[in-house]
Amino acid sequence: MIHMKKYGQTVFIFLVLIVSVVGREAPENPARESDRSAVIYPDYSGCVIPPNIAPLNFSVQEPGIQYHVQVISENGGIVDINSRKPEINIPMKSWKRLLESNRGCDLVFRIAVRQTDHWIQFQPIVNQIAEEPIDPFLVYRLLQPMYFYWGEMGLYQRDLETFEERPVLLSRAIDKSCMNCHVFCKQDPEKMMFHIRGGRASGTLLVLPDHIQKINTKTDFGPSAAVYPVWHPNGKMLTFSVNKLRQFFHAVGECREVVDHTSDLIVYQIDSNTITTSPKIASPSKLETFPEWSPDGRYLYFCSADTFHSIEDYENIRYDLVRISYDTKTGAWGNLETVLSSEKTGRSALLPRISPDGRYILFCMADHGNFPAFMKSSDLYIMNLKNRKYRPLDILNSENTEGYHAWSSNSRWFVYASKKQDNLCARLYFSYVDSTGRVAKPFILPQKESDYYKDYLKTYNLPELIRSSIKISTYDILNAANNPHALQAVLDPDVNIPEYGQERDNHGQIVPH
Amino acid sequence: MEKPSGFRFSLFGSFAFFLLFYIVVWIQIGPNLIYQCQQPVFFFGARFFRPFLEYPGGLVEYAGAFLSQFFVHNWAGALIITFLAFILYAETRLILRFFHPSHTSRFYDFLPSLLLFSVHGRYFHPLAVSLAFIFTIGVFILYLRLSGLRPWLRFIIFSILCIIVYYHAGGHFLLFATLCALYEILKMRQFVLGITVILLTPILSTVAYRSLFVISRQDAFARLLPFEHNYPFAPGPYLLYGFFPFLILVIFLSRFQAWRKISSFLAGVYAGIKPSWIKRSIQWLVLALIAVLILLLSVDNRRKTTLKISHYAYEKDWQHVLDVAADQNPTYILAQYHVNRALYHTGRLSSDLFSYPQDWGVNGLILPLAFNTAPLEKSDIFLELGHINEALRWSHEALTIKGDTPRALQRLVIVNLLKNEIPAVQKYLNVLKKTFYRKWAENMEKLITSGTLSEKDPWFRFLKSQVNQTDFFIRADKPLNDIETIFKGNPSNKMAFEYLMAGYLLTGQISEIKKQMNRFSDFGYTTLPRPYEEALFVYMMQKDPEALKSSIKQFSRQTVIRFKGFSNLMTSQGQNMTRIQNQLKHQYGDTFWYYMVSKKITLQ
Repeated sequence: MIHMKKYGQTVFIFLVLIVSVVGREAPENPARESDRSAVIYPDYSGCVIPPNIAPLNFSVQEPGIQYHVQVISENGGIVDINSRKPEINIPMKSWKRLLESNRGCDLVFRIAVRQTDHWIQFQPIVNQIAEEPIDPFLVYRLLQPMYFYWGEMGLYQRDLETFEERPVLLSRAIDKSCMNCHVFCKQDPEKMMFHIRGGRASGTLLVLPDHIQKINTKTDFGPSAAVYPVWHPNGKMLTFSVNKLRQFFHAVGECREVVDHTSDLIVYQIDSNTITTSPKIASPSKLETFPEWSPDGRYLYFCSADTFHSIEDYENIRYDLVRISYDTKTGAWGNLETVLSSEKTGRSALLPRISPDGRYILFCMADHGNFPAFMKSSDLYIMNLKNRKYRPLDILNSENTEGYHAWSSNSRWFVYASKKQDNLCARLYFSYVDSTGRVAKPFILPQKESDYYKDYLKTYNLPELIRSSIKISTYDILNAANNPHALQAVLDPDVNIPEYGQERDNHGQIVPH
Repeated sequence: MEKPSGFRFSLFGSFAFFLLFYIVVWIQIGPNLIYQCQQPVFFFGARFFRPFLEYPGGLVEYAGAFLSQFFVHNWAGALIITFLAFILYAETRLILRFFHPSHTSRFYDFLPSLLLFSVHGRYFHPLAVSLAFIFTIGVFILYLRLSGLRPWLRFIIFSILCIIVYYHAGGHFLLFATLCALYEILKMRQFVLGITVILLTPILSTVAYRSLFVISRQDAFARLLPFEHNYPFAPGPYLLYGFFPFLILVIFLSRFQAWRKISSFLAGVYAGIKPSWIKRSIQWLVLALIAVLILLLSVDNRRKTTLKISHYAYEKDWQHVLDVAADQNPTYILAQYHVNRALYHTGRLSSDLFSYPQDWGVNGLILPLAFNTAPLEKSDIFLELGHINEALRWSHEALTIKGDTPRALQRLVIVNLLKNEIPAVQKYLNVLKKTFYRKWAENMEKLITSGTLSEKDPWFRFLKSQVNQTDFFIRADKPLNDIETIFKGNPSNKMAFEYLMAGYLLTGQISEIKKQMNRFSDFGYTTLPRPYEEALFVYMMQKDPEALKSSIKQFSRQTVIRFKGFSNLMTSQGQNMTRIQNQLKHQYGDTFWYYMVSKKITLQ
């Protein structure tokens, strides 16, 4: 448990006071005491952090000529930093020792700033160290904020315990093709999938423990190749959406808008290389998207909206959160069940991600539509799957976009993308979820340079936590991607092929133009 | 000891050559036009530098990105190119001296420098490529200097140097290996070593591709070479890159009897020329002739005109835009687009639209959707029309397509200010502070913080007054619809009005012009501008001749007389356009009628 009891808190504060008196590099006396905490960037205050996270380097946003920071916790291991600059770089080794020996305890930053002839001692900034670690690696895309064209982008893996970021694949190696939608089976780096669009590397890459397979998932069913993916927990199949997207632009406010003209779900069986579906997940009168399997593999959750008459109706397109049971042995689908109705919420439920322990579902809700990355109104919500009670995560939502999110394998952490800093570039934040489902204040992905994000123009996209690093070499990925002979997925002959590319009415009838 | 007079002459000649070279680069190429064309990206700090370490050729690219920033000033850019040309000259001389210790003529020494001029005269040629070339030749000279060593030792040295060239200059390791192989085979008669040297190159690039760098197979071989598919064809690079291998081949040929005969004959003729100053003068004359030829053939004048116009448009020097257009008659769409902007900003769009070429019709007013080669310039018109989201979009596309160029970042500061997205403004200012535009960013920050930007910057004030507040779905494929909506939302937007009218004119939608005709007076026009009068005249003549007769007095006398002349000329030749094209253009090229006939516009 990370919430300290009152007794422990008193003892700890006492300890902090003692340390501040006997600390090795304490500010010269007399230190004036400020009645507030120092402002630091990034805001690492009141957060819960994993015991295996890299140092939370920050800069002190207070004027001064000398800075003194003590990083303290209950079980000892003080880290003392003196700096002429406001950028505070915490030594890696001492930080790791401190965190490891203080799991479940508070972590305090005591900051003093020297202003010409006197020191100001600010009130301590308190964070908490969780007992539970976060999955140590994070995989994400880095790219320019995108409108229509795409430029250089890369798929990277970041060691969360250090600052090391390594490219998994860069678009410059594949003729600037777009790479997207990477997902892992149960946070396992040995079971990964992602798409490459455009150029000769185009296709879906399935990274399995023993080989990499490039697949062409475009069949006669659906208007496109596979798009939004999810692994079934058994690791033997994937579910995708197949969408016909259209992007258009507004003259005022947020510029970009994306709608799906058609959208269905398909299931890809890896062993048999077949694609199948059912009218229950691919209804001509519905737009189904963002599939997500329950951890036991018995339910497929996804988002579903009615098809629309005209693009002018875009503001009325709202997605329900639904689920359907599935029998992996027989491949039989059960009945559709609405988990959260958009009619009830007045909002569009998107991107459901279920915690690996099956207790919670984390999802976005926006005013309308299905593309949270472009919608300021998109916020994160959490639902308790036992009682279906849901709530917005006010502690982390902002007036800008909160978008893509992913769980750590122990269900105690999740990462999400937010544009709260500037409504321009998404940054990655981590939040702790305690055993009662309470979500703690998030903290931003730490960087070696404390001001890293202030002038960094790339946007973080599709963060996924994994349990260890991706071992497969870039060369092997490139080799598979550049293979001109993708394995053509076979469409289950029992699947009915509807006519695509038409707008449909609520009864699934094609609307004449 | 006194130097011989020939040496002094040569020294003076070299100095004069590079002085002239500098002046010609400055005036004839104009490095600021290279900057306009390439808009190189450079940031101070380790974050920008680090990725350059992660692929072959990165370090030279970094140096190129840094030095290219100075091209914004003609004098500095010319100095850099001249300095590189001088190094190349020195390298050439060293190589020639190495192969021909008795070599005194400076004639050949200058040829690569002239070829360097020719490649930069194409404007798109990146400086990094020239740096890589010069670096590679420098390393080759180092290899030549070590030629006294045993072959196995030379192989080791070659391997080390080849890796150095590969890491620093990318695909230029192929040039290095070729030169070394030719040298070993032809001069040193080391066939095994020569062939081994060549065989090493695919091994090196394969190792780099497989294990060292995240790059494409093509980049592993050819990064920074000017022969990639996205490098437009030009003979200059082939001549430049072929020069040194060719030189070694010629030296090899000199071993043969036939070649010796020819060369000794030529040498005899040459030696017969006396006194020596005539000989030297001939050398310089031939060199000057080659230089003039290169000068005339290598500079891409059409591109230069467009770049000049783009440059002046960026500077908002509208009169110069029109001057260049009047002088050069530009045909590129981008040039005509800027000319139309200049016409508007000088208050002449409505009256002088057809005084400048309108080959691209309405696309010359607003660049078409598919036009993405100059995305930032495409955003100019949207910004000025107040179509702010479209300006934002194309500024972002500029970042994506062209990289984080300072001008795109500046534009994003302005657009986000107009959208009141202050955190985004701050971000772009932070980024700009790490470029050579730091002062601009700091100054802008001060103006924003003090709230005096609108007061102190009339251009910003103008843009702010234009901002569209009406939401609609942007129809980038039908830009006139968007302008129409913008104008409806803000009826005092003069630019939207004039562009809309010009768009109607260029598409022959005269009935639409008729509907808005009375609005001209709202924008200070006392009479209907001539092209509109011409359009209305011919429209009425086609659709309602009776009404034209009754209202003929409403048209200016000059329009009526000119139309008579125009129609007489047309009918006199039975409308055989090819026969009367030049005469029509000469007499009526600035009229709507000529535009209508030459573009076969149907009036609506």
